[in-house]
Amino acid sequence: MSYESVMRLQWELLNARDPLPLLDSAPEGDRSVLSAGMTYGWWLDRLRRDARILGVLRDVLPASSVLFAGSSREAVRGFIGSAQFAGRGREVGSTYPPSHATVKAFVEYVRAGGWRPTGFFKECFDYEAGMAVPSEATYSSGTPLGGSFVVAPGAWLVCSRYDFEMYARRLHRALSEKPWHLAIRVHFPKEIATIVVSLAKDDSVRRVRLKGETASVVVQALGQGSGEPDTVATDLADRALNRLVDEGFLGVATS
Amino acid sequence: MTRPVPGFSCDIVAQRDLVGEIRGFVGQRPCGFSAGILAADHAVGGELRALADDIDLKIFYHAVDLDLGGVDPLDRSHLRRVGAMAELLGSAHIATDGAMWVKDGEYLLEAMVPMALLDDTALYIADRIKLIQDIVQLPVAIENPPFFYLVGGRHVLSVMSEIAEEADCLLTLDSGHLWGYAHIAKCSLFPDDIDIPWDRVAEVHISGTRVASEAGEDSFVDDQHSWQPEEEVWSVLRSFLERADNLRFAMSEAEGMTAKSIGRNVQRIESMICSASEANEAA
Repeated sequence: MSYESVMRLQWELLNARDPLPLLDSAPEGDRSVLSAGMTYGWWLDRLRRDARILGVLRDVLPASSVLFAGSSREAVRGFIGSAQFAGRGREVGSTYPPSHATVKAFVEYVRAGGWRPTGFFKECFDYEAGMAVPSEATYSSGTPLGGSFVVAPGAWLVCSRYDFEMYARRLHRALSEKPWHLAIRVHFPKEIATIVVSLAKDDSVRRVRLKGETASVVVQALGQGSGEPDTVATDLADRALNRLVDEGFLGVATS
Repeated sequence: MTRPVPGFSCDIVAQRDLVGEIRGFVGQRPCGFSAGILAADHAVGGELRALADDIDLKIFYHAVDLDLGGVDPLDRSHLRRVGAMAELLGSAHIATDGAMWVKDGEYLLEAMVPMALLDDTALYIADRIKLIQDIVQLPVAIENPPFFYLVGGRHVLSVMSEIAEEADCLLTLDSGHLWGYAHIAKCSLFPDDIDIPWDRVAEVHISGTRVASEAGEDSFVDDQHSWQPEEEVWSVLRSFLERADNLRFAMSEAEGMTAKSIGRNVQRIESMICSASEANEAA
């Protein structure tokens, strides 16, 4: 057992589709130290990791879904105490989930409708790198974005706690088989709309921060989308793209 | 005993407009800002430095792509970029969590993996810090990371103390992270048998860690910077301030909080610094 081997194995376990067989095949020393660490917190942390979640996403979501990545973890705690969670068979003193409740089983449970996107699943996405997953392309008021919005099928709306370009790349890679053109992040510091737009083409990502009038135009477009979602989303993308080109941030349109 | 600069962190993209307003909460007195930034993000770094110069804000660099505890070989060209960013920001040391921040060349950011707490952890990470310090020519201040679960049975402060002595580096202590760790490890915050090199503690942080536990079951610890810290976490911060005698920076990790909340936290930290200094001088 060495630090390096334990960290390598930990990483593999955190990202494995089914970690338990992998753990079983590990050397005894590594296995014991990692088994001891695989408490409830480990499983929850693993579940909400973006790689894991995006892997699930590919299987369970339609291409027209809106991705929302926020920073709220509040409801995770609420979920822990919920009846849904209590029904997962957790036992006092045991790790969670128990050995039969693999991530694969978790995914199947989600697919079967056992958990709705408004529950724990959504909070997982909200949590880390974020990714959340409403199954409908419209939000109501009260979301962290502050209003309703609609995007077109194939356009991914992303709000991330951190707007590092790396996240956009990760999203892009993870969703490589999906249409992915535009990521938008909306904030309201001092009640003034501020938007960060990330655009991806091939493996490059450009990011620009829109403020003031430009941001207001986009926010208005977001808020007006309930009637004609496709038109509004297309218009939104065009406006953002044109603005980026006008401001010299983008030389090539990506859509 | 040096008197640390009070300060804060916030989202440098989304909340940049708030920085000046928050800084105003401490008037003309010194104030610091913790910049969590990628080494390659020169544009943001440059803008931040210009802003800091404009409003008299001291920047402390928090390198979110400095892979102290990872298994990828350290990339020397990347380390030179880290050094250049530190120079751009005017930071006298580089803080970051003891964690795997990079895997297979990819920056993990919020998905970073905290260091396993094993017997050989200190030597492994100390060797990496030595190389980093050789190249960037600045001291590293390794921070106790947030733990949601534990791998390995060593106390985090024991491991960090060994790292600091072996690598001759600095320490950053986060009160929320330590408080949460103590809950899930079911151990004391400062065990008597650990000789913590308090003179090496360069930064102390406070973050919004919370604990949920049910009778007879494991605690669940969560950490989010938009949460106001619990009073118990403030008490841990006070302990840090009373013991660390070479402290440079004491700050509220506050991404996602309102300007008013952050400003109040900075004011409270400033007040606690004064109290700790007066108590130490009286002693």
